[in-house]
Amino acid sequence: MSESNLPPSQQSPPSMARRRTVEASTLGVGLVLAVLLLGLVNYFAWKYYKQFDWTSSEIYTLSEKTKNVVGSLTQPVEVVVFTGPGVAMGEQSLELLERYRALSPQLRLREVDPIKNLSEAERLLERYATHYQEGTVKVVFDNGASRRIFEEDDLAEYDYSPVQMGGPPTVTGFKGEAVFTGALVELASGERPTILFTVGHGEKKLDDFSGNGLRGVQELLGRDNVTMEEWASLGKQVPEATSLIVVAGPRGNFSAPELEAFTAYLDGGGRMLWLLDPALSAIADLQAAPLGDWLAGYGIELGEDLVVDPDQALPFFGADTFFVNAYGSHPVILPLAETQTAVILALARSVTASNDETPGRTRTELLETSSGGWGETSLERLPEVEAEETDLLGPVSLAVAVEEIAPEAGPDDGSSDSAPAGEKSAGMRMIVFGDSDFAADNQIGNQGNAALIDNAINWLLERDTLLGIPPKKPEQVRLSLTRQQLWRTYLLTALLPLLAIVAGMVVYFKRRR
Amino acid sequence: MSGILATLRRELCAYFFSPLAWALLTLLLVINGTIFALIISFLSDPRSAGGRPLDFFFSSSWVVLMFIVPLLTMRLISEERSSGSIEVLMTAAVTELQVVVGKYLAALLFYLFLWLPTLAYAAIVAGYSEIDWGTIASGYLGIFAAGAVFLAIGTLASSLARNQVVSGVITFAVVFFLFLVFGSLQSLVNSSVWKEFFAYLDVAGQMDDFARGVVDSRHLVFDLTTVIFLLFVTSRTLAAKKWR
Repeated sequence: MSESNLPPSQQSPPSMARRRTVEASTLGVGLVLAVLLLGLVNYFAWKYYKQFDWTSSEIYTLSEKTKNVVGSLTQPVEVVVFTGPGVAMGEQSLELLERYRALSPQLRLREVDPIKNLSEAERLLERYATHYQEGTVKVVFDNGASRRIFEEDDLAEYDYSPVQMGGPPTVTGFKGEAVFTGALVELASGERPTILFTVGHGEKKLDDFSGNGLRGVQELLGRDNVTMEEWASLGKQVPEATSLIVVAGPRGNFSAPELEAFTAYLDGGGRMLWLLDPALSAIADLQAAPLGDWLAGYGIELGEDLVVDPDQALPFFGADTFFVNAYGSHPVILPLAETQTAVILALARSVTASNDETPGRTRTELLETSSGGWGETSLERLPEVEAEETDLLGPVSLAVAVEEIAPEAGPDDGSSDSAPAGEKSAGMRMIVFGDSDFAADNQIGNQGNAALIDNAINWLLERDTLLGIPPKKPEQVRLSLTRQQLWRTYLLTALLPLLAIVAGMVVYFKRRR
Repeated sequence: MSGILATLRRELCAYFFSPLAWALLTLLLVINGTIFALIISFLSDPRSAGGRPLDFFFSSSWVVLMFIVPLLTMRLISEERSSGSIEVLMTAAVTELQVVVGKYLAALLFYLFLWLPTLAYAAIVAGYSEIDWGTIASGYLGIFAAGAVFLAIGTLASSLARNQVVSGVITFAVVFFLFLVFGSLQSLVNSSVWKEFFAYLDVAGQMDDFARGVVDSRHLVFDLTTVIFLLFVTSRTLAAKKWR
């Protein structure tokens, strides 16, 4: 038997020392190799991972569309999430985007807390020409050439009914996947919608600093990767690549050739947004004809009136400045209706959907006054007005959306698309508001005004609803247990440790025997 | 293999015939029962925002883990060392690795046995509302995975300390540290890469993912490789002591 095979106690001191050195070296090398192997395996596990959704409703499973879109990204897209601790929608967005990132190395995700990392946040917010409101989430998709920016309201659907019982509003749906995938599709396609703002009729202007301009709208849309240009429509056809024409607060009328050009544009699936003010001689000379006649052709009646609503008038203002919180059923005003957000209008005229139904077109009234409001037609007797038989009695409609529907598709009810997923519908879309001031710089910050104009333009451009990805509905279990059921639950819960004690005693006494 | 099975059988008998095991089971059921009752009361309040009861339960199970794991592992090897029976074990026809794996598997099986009665909570909830068994399965997988890592830490601590109490305190401290430190570090750093790195090591965050029904390959690989590494280090520690 060699000495090295003997137990340590029987070995001679030099041999033992040698053995110890060998053992220590082997142990050290083994440990180093094990650490390296551990690091290597985990590095690759970190880089290439897969997530499995075990929920029965597959709430954490991305749709096939999203997998295809993210998986086929060919150029890097940086996604920056501005959020803070405890912002639920921020956490959900990050969790969702983590799953996007797992599908493609081209997607780079970055989380920025503007409170903690002020300098980085300021630099990025300046680069994206946007602002951050504390306690919310803002998500930016940027591929270098263009970008899309989303706010908290763009991502969630809320149920406000618990507020009446003193509870917090609950999220009924998370639209993140539809919104984010839509943004990636847009960025990948390189499409940049062009919006033309008509000029030459006394319209509100994009570069007007007086407070009556559309700089606020410009900022709102600027974050959404669109091109905005002013356009003199007189004597011209609508340019080919036009995605939307906005007519904001014209004071003069449109000529017949201009209206014919608009008709041709709409017939080809064009989109128009009209923001029209009342025809008060003091402030405008926009009369019903020929514009009124032209709109009547699309089933829209433009009222020759000034809408007043004393029941909803703002304090210290006349009855012609009022808030509206009665909404129709339409994707444009759905977020406002869900969040019970009012919009504030000043000097508005009525816009009503006509009764005669033209086949293939739907008309939806979006906003209306309270039943105490009316459309005052005796404009020469302002401001002393009373509701008379000749007036349009309330509730008075203030905006109408028109949509042409392809024969095989249904109307856009917000949950489904009128066009097949991934394609824009071929039909025209138009919205006419009886007020332009709500979108002007000095009023766009009021209540839901910004959301209203933003939603209207997004609906007209068919953004965020192209993919047919439904919102994820979180499972919100509420246990409505009676007092008796609660006590039964407590008893059953208390019974388990008692059974453990009994089982322990049985084992103990059996062992003693 | 026979060496592992022999050690496993011996350790399991030691667990089940020890009064400490039943006291542990009672303690675990008292803590878990209290948490479960609180969750049920909270969700029965009409003002609450709602949520899945067992998601809350699984998310809060780390509190129980912190206390149970040191109690389960503190005697595994320390007891053998303080009583001197380790000498006998080491001269038997089993390798250090077989001893370590056998003891570890026994602790893991007993740990699973401790969680078994909590399935009754799922049955109780199923009586009052619809239940998502997929989420429950992933929640238990989370408890198993986190427990596996912490039991490996406890096994290593037990091999390092001769005194059982010292071994238990080391395990508790390390588990407590692991639960708190990586979550906190994530909120302290600004770099996305470091944030991801700490999230990867954050066992509490892992348990949240499992609790909501998401099974992530990163968590499973991290847990499995950490267990293998720790058991290897434990066996090497025992081997090194043999030659001192």
